[in-house]
Amino acid sequence: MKIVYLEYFCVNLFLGFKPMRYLKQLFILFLFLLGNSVSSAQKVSIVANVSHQPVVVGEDFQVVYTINNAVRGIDFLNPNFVNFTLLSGPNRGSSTEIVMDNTGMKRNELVTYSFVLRAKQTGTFQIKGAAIRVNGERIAAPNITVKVVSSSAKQHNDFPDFPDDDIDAFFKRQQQLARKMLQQMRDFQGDQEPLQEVRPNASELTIEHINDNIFLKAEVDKLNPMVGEQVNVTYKLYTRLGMSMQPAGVPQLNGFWAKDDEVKDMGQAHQENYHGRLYNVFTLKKTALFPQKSGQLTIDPFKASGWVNVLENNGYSYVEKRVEKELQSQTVVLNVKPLPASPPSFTGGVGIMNLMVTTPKANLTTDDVIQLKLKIHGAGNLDLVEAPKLVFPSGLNSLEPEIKDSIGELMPKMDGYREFTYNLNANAAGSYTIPSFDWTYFNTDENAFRTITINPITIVVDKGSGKAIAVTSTPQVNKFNEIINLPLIENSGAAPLFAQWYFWGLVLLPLVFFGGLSYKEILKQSGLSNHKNIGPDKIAQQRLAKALGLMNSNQNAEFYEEISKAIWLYLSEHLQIPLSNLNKQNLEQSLQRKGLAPQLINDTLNQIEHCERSLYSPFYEKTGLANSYQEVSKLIQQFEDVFKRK
Amino acid sequence: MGTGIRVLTLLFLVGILLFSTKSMAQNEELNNLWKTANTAYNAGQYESAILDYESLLKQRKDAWIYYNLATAYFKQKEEGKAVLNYMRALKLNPELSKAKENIDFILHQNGSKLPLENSLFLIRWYQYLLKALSANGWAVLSLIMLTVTALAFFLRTKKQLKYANRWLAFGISMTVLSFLLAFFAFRENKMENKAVVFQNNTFLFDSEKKGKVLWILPEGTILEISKQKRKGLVFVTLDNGIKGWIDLNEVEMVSG
Repeated sequence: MKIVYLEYFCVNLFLGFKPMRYLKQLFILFLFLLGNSVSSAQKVSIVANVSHQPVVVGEDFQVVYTINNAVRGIDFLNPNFVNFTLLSGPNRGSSTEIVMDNTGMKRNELVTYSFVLRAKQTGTFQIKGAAIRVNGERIAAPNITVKVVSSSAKQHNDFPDFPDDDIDAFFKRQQQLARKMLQQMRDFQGDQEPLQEVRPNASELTIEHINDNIFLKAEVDKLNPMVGEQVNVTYKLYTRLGMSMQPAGVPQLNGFWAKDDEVKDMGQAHQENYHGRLYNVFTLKKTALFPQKSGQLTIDPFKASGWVNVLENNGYSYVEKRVEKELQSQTVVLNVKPLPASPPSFTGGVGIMNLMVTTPKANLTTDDVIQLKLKIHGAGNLDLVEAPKLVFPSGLNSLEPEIKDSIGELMPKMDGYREFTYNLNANAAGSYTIPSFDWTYFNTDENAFRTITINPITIVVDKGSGKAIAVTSTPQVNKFNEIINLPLIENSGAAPLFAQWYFWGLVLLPLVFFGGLSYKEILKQSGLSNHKNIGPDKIAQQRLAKALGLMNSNQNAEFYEEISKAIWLYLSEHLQIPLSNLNKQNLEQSLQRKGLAPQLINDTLNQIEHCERSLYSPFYEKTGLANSYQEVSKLIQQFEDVFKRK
Repeated sequence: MGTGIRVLTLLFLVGILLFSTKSMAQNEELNNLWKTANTAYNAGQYESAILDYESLLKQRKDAWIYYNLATAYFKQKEEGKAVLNYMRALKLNPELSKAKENIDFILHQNGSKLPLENSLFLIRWYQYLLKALSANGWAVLSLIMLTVTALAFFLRTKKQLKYANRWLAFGISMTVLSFLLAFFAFRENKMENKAVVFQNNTFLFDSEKKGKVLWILPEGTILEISKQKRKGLVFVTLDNGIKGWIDLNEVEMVSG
């Protein structure tokens, strides 16, 4: 993306290049690119803050999420405000911080999303779910714990946290603190010197005594732990002077498995009495350590650097002077005791723990994935416990167990659970028994190993349909094919059949072939071709045969009708003129065109005339039916001879 | 006239000869690069193999090269690019079943909670049916069905077929079905609107306003891109039927 911008700018610049005019822009562009590249190289992070704590029911307060090193295209996902009323937000704000130091210029783009909320009920609630997404990576914001108290509870609070905007309350609190501190200082030091001012004993706060007035301390709750036993180390800054300190070196914790605890009130001091003096104490880091080996293990010091305001005597009075100061906590050496000889069923657990087994549900089939869950819960080095050693009977397949951790409190003892889930699958129906097994951990209360024995677990599996397995885990899923090592051939992929011309040719082929055959068949079977097969002479013969029958029964009219039809139909078929279009004139012409003998044409026309007269004229002298019949038969025979010859 | 044709034929033959010798030399060159790339892959030097395959692809678009490139990307844990190149291999040669198997492998092994199957059983059946045969398989089947149906029609007209109408109805419906499936499989293989998710944990939003994240998609998820585009987001449909809006910058088109 950046490269694209760069090109875009460069093109724009060089197209109308006027050096002097664009020098300034070029310089700004350079700065912009430089700054941008520095900031984007830094990690995007998100922090969450609450305006004040605790909150009184019905009170409004503000939650602010600050994104450091923000870049383009960050999506902010709103958190869940289940127990609060959202009054306004998200309100987006942004600012830029430019820091110059010896490593160069740093640019920090800050984007804030703030919400104004109102507390609904008392209790301690978490605001979760806020996150940002940048470059496809999801960065979750830390959860915020908000303590909501009733209005009466707040007044009784010993150390009330007044909202910052409540100026009167703030001053009141400051006065209270000052008075309290003064009183305590008098209690410890009052006998030695009379107190003249708020800051007594100024000689103690000079540079000579600086190491008594500001120091780092590592507090360890146990110096002789067992291997795997939790040791909590807390790094604290003690000060009686005004100062500003930054962590300079994070301790390397070799030989330990370490887990940091969240320091909730970072940057907020509390008062502590140490060797008879009252200090402001800041908690810097809290870490739970689990020694991994026996012997002497060193907890490295925590280092910080910054400035301190000390007092200096200028002859008349003490004045403040700012000096550079580097601090380092003491090095703590732990004497780690080894565990006694461990039984084979020991899987590394040290603490106070228990094992729970969740057996699979009933009515299992070979289609199902059978889940066997082993849950180790309690307090101790849960993150370091390995799965109990289990033996599965043959026919029951299992992969490595899935591990799910849920850690509650980390200090003073890490508690929660670790759950091992075995996903099993049976090859065939039947009863499977997982044999009895032991699991051992080291009990830190009793200083001895404790073994938990789990009874045999029997799983009855019925025959399944076999379908579900095929659907959920297709057989080829476990197979990954390597590359093709064959020589490269031309066109290792041909065009699909659907796009080939010959495919469509092949589609047409059966259509044309069978279509043609079927059409022929249909034609054959239809009435039209029926006539053709019988032939014109046969029609005429049929008519004549009928006429013969009529002649014998002396039905004159019907007889003449039949023989005239015989002639007409016969000629219509042969001349291929539809009967309806045929009359004596075009019949004569057609016959002449066919080149028939004039005698025959004449006879035909006479015979037709004769038939018509016999039919329609009552006065016409009939020559006799037998004669007519013979005449027509003779004519048709003559025609037949002529047409056949042709 | 006669001599003219002879001269043309001669020129044509010479042309073929020249062309074939030139392409033969080029083939040899490609094959050498191909062998080099494969050797690098087999030695575990996936990065150099990828470079070689990419330069091969500049000279010839070939299913096998895409396939090997994808496999090398997979070994480099770049699953988005692996799936994309397997898809490109399949676009050129839908019969390359190894590529299909490897896509299945990648999609199953990335451990996402995203369902791989469509929740509607009818669509699931349709997808199974479509995948039961290759596009060409369906095309051949439709051809056979058409021939059989035409034969049945002919026999019916000759009145030589018992229960002719039933056979004919069956034949016609089977022909239409196999033709449709052949067409859909053909269209699917063209992969015109197919795209692959490139970034791991890409968000699938419920609307173009990015109101809610429906799913977090793993790298290599295959999608169908629609024409609906707004504010840099595009409306997509996953293979499993899930629909949503996704950032255009986080997907790559298969044909593009």
